[in-house]
Amino acid sequence: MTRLLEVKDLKVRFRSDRTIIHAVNGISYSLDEGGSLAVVGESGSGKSVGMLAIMGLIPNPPGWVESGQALFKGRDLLKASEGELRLIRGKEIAMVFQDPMTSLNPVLPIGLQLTEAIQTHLGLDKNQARERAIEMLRMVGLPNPAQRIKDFPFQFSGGQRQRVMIAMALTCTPSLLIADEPTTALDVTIQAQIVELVRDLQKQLGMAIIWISHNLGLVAGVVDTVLVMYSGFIVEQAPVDDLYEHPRHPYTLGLLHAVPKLDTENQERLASIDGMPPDLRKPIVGCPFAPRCPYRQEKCDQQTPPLFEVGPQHQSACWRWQELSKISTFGEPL
Amino acid sequence: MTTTIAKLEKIRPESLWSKAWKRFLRHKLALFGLSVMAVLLFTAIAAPVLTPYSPIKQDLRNLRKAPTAEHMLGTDGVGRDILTRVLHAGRISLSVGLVSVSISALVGIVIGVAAGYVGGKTDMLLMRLTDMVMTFPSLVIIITVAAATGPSVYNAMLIIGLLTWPSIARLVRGQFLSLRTQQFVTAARSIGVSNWEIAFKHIFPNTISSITVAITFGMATSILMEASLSFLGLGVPPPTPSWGNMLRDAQSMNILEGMPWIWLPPGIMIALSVLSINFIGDGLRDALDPRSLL
Repeated sequence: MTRLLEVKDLKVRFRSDRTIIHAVNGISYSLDEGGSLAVVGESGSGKSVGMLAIMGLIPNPPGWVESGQALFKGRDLLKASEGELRLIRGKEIAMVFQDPMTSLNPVLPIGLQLTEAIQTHLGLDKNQARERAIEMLRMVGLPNPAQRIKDFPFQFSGGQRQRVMIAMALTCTPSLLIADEPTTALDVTIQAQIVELVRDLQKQLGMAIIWISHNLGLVAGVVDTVLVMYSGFIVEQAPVDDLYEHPRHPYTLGLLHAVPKLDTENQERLASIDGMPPDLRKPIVGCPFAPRCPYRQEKCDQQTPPLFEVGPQHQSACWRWQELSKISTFGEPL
Repeated sequence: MTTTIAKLEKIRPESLWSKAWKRFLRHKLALFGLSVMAVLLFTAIAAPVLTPYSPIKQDLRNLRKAPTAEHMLGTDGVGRDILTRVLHAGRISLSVGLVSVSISALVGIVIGVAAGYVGGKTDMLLMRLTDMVMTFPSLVIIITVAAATGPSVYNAMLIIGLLTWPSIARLVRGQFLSLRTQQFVTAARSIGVSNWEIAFKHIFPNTISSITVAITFGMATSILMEASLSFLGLGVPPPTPSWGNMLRDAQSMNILEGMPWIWLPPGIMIALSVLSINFIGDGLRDALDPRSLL
């Protein structure tokens, strides 16, 4: 398999009042063509910002990419000009956003928004673009596409809008689709449908996909590799099964522990991780998770752990990863 | 049963504009304003057909005659038919309003879009310029310009247009500032839409409703400004009639006290047109309110 995307030491900063927010603090990962990756983490962990940075969509001011490389098909996206990026966006890399209610322009018919990318990138004329748009809407399972293409966003339900967004992202058959929590704003049955749809389309079109999510359960069935982020750092990265079975970072353990299970016998309270994520206005010294970690040692407060190779393609940024293999639940004493 | 289903199938969601139009039709005052405006426009356009007299030609045998069957609103100081002049003045006053509000909207939109979309230093510079124009003492500028170039209809249009754009520029800027951070803008950028297209194809249509309302109110302001300029003798120069310069005759005390037919008609026309335009603006604002649209 050939490498599609390789991100190295990406750092993103935002300016707020007179302080600098350290949103993404040197993340590195790679993705093969046709592969799939999930980026998991809580709000503010830098998952979306890290992806927006690759596409050159960080609003500047207040944000900027401090350092790093994002090699896409061998080309560094972080050094590309706005004009070059524009040719890549939509054609090579496309994105589906979190909230379908606000991702479509309320005053334009969806047809206009769908054909825009087609006309920009594929050089088709209006009628051909329209045909293509209808074909795409049919592909994402929107009934009666030839009629509905004239409708405005408010005439669609949330799930339908997300289908339209997916159609919009896929019109030019990109080789990478970034799905930024595309199901968060939808109810559970629709979530399942959308996940299913994106998976089918991925197979059909042979594209690579990055799922951004805060839901470990949701991504379990759809990706090869999972990348766990915490306060702008990658804390653990592993093939999906390995991560669920042998988590090697306390934060991942905590997250897995917090996933609600339907088959628990006694009605215990849902587990949570005590404490708050660190203040990103200060550079982080030591392990970012240390203040909330029940396994903290002196070393954790002073030195930021690197990503250790803890297994085949499995990396963890914890000083005590070896000892962690002894326990199976978060909080259990070592 | 089958008929209900058939009926239900016929109900299709209406477009944004037809919904807005329906809401506008429910607004009684706005409808009243629209009808009055329609009548004013019609009488202004059809003025030469509606009255047999010339608005300019003097008739020195009929000075300041009270209303009669021949001259329904009487005659003015040099014997011209007041009704004829009021109707012809409508042409001038309304077109000064229309043209100057167009100038004002054009300048305001261009500056507002540039400031709101580009942001940063451009925004800062353009907004300081806007603040400057807003603080200009209009009368002083107008008197200076009128003195330098001589009063004319076109100067009046230009001056009014160039003094009233700041409010539109600020409105457009504000809308762009809030709209450009919306997710649909990021979504459009993520599929490779250019900045130019995002500004004019995506963001601008979202501001049209508020711009429409602002333009409507701006037109009322322009008509009032024209009237005051002409009243001072700095706007539309005689003998061309405008509502403002017809009121000039009322500067003399005995006309004001004894000959209301000379100054009442243009005064009523000004009040009526400004009032009806404001009603239309109110109706548009309610009908186009984005919160009720979505």
